[in-house]
Amino acid sequence: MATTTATITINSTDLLTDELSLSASATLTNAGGGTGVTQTSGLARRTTSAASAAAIQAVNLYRAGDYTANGANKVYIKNTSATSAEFFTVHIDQEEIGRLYAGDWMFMPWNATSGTKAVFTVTIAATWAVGDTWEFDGVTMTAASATVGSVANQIHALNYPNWETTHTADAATVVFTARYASSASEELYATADGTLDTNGNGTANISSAAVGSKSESDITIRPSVHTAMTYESLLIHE
Amino acid sequence: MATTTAAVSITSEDLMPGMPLAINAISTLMQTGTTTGLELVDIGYGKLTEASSADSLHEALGTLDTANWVYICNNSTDQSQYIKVGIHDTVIGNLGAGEWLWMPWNMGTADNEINIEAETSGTIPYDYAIFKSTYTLPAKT
Repeated sequence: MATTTATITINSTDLLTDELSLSASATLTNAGGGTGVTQTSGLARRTTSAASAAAIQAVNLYRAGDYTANGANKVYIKNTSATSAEFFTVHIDQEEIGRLYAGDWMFMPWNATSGTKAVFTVTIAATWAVGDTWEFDGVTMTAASATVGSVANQIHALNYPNWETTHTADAATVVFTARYASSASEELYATADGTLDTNGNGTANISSAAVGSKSESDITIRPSVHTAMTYESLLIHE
Repeated sequence: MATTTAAVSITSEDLMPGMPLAINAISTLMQTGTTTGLELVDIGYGKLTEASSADSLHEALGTLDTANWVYICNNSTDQSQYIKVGIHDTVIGNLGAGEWLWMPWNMGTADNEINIEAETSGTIPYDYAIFKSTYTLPAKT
């Protein structure tokens, strides 16, 4: 178990007639306390820039789907700019939290509430031949065997950029689950989304498809200028 | 002009083996995009009860797109008690016992209202502070 502490100190001698001196220190634990958090993204530093002001894009800093929902996750962000008018606008989902101006930092808990992921099942059936192919998500499977179980095994063994698979060895079906929560406008996946090239009458029908729903708490930051701006960020998570 | 500083220290010797974590940052709280210090503050102490639903931490009556800051600390010592912090209809995260947050706040519209809610059982004491660039007093009723 790791021991990580976060301490804040807020001071002012002239904001009020009395001196302001506020301090708090927390040991970061998993939800419910007792066990220290053990995972982190590590401190990262990145510079944003765009060709013009019109081309400024928000940076998706942390995707909720990658982390434990309702976990005791903590996010630290700092704007390292030295130009006082430059800021990053911080959003959680579509809600604007606020602006981090030059030199500002923030530290907040993060619920990491994800949406749901699209899913479908592909079923390998009928007569396949060695050399037949099925392509999906830019990845092509070339059959090394004519048995449907082996073809399904091969499909499961490949690495898809946007999908994960589950499969029982030698079964005819492979379940595809999107790596990220989906856009609300996504359509159901269907057989036509795969490209089949078979010398026999082999099939790779898609069924049991369900669309997902968008993530509810991705953290994004948007720079205020298109010229170079640099931020640092750290995620400590369950 | 007032000078108010916020400093953070995040440290761990063993979170990343062989690479001790030692983040130290300090910022001076400025009015929006300037080098003039913030001069408005509300500091308070309260208690949340699990029986109530989410409460607004503070009315969002500032000017849109200004620099403001929020500090909240859960003063409970019961590890099962946490404060759920949200902004408008989105949950930001959970503040466990003894934990704090420090974040900017665009407090110029009701859509940016920050809400807090006690979870599990009992009463949760908390501290808060809000540093503001501008603020409009609520209208007379």
